Amino acid sequence: MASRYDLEEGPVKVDPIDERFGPSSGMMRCMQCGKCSASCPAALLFEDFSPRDVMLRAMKGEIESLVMGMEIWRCGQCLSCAARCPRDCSPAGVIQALRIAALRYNPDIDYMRQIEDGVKANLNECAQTILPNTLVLPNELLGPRTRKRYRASAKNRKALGYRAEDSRRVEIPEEDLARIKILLKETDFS
Amino acid sequence: MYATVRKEIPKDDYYLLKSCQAGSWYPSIETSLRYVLTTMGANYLDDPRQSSCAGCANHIGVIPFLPIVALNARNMSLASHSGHRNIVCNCPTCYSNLKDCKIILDGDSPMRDRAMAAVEKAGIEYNDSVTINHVAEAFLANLERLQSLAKYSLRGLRAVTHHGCHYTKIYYKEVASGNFERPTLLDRVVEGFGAKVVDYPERSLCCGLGFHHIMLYPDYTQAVTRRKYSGIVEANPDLLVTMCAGCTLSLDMCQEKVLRELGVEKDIPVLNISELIALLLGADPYKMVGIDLHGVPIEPLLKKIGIPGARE
Repeated sequence: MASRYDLEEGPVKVDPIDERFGPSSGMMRCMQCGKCSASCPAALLFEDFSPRDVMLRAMKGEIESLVMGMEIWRCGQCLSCAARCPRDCSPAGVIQALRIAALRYNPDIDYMRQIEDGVKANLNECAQTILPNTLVLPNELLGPRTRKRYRASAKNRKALGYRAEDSRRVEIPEEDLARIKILLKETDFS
Repeated sequence: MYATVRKEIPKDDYYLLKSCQAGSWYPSIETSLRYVLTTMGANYLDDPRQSSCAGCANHIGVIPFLPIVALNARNMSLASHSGHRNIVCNCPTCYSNLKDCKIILDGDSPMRDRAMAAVEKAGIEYNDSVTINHVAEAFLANLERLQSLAKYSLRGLRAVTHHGCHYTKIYYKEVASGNFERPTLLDRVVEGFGAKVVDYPERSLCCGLGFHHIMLYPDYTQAVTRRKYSGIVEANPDLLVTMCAGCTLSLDMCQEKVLRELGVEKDIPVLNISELIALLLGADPYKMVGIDLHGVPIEPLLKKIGIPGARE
C-alpha cells in the first residue's frame, strides 16, 4: 500500500539516542523464558503477536521485519511483561522504540501517522496531548444507555467549567506556550 | 515476590500535575481532586503553565522520547522553582513518564544533552529537585486527616479496586502499599472510609484501554474488559474504584455492554479515587463531582451511602 506521507528509505534503523532499544537497554539479556507472553493480554488475543518473539527477533537484529510488520502495534502497553521479566527487560519499551522507527519507514500505517499529526498539533497549539475530540469511543463498545450518556458529555463537562474543545480549564499563558513551541522545535516535533 | 522499596510519601506542598486524559474524558476527576486538596487544607499549586507530559503518545508510539524529556524538564523545573516540590499526578501514565524523564535528566546520555540544549534555548532555568507521586499516595499519607473530614462512610459496602498498570508495573518496586502483583494502595484508602475491599480474579489485568486500541482495535478492549468483569462480578461489589482516567473510561463506558453479554443485569458504579473521596467529604455530586459524566449511573451508590441530592 502506498503512503500519503514522505517516508525514509532504508536501511531501517532505530534512532541511536533511543536507549530503549539496542545493547544499552539490557535487551540482550532476554533468555526467552516466555513469562512476558504468558502475562500478555494482547498475545492471548492476537495470534500474530508475542512479546517473546519480538524480543528474539530484536536480539537477532531483525529490525526491518519488525518495523515493516504489524505485530508491534498489537501491544496494549500494560507493561505486565516489564514487571514480570526475571531479567528486568522491557518488551513494551522495545516496542515503543520500534513504533517510532515504523512511523518513518512503514507505508501501511498512515492511520498511526494521522494520530501523530493530531498529537503534534495538540502539543504545538495548546500544550496538550489528548483533547476531548482526540479519542472517540466506537459505538460497538457501548451499550444503549451508555451511548446516550456518552453523547451528553460535552454538555456535562461545560457544566463543570470546561470547554468542549479543551482538556484544561484554564488556558496556558501565551509566553509559556511560546517556550513549549521552542522545546518542540528544538527536539524535532513541530 | 520482588522486594518493594519502602518510600516516604510527602504529606504536603503539592504541585498538581493535571492529566490531559482526565481533563478530556472525566474533568470530574480534576474538580474532585481540587475539592479534596482544598478541603483538607493542603498547600498545593494548580499551575496553568504546566504542559501535558505526553506520556500517552509515548505508549501509543507516535512521539519520540526526546521531546517528552524536554517537556518534562520544563514541568519539573516549574514545580521545583514554585517551592511546591512534591508533584502529585492524577494519572499513572504521568507518574511513570515523569519518573522515566527524571532518570534520563539525572543521568548522562546523548538524549539528555539534546533535551538540555532545547531547555536552554527556550530560556528555562532547569531544576528537578522534585518528588514524583500519585495522588492516591497523597491520600494514603493524609488518610487520618481525610477520615476526620468525612461526612459519609462506606460502611456496609463491598468495593473492588483496579490499580493502573502504569502505576504498578513500570516502577514495580515502588508501589506504596502491597506489591505490584497485589497492590493495596487503593484498598487501604477505601478501607479507611469503612468499605470492605473484596478480592477478584484478574486483579492485575489491564483495564482494556490500550490507548489507541479502544479506537482502532476494539476487539482488544472488548476481550480484556470481558475477562476483567468476569472476575469482578464474582466478587459482587457495590462499587469499583480506579486511580486513572483511562482505566475509568474503559471500565465505566464499556461496562453496560460487557455485563449484559455476560448475562449480568446489575450495574457496578465506577469511581476514580478522587471522585469517591470528594463525595465522602460532602462535595456536590453534580456541580463538583460531575457524576453525570459517567457511563454507569452513580445515583444508586449515592443512595446506598446516604448522600442526598441524587436526581431520579
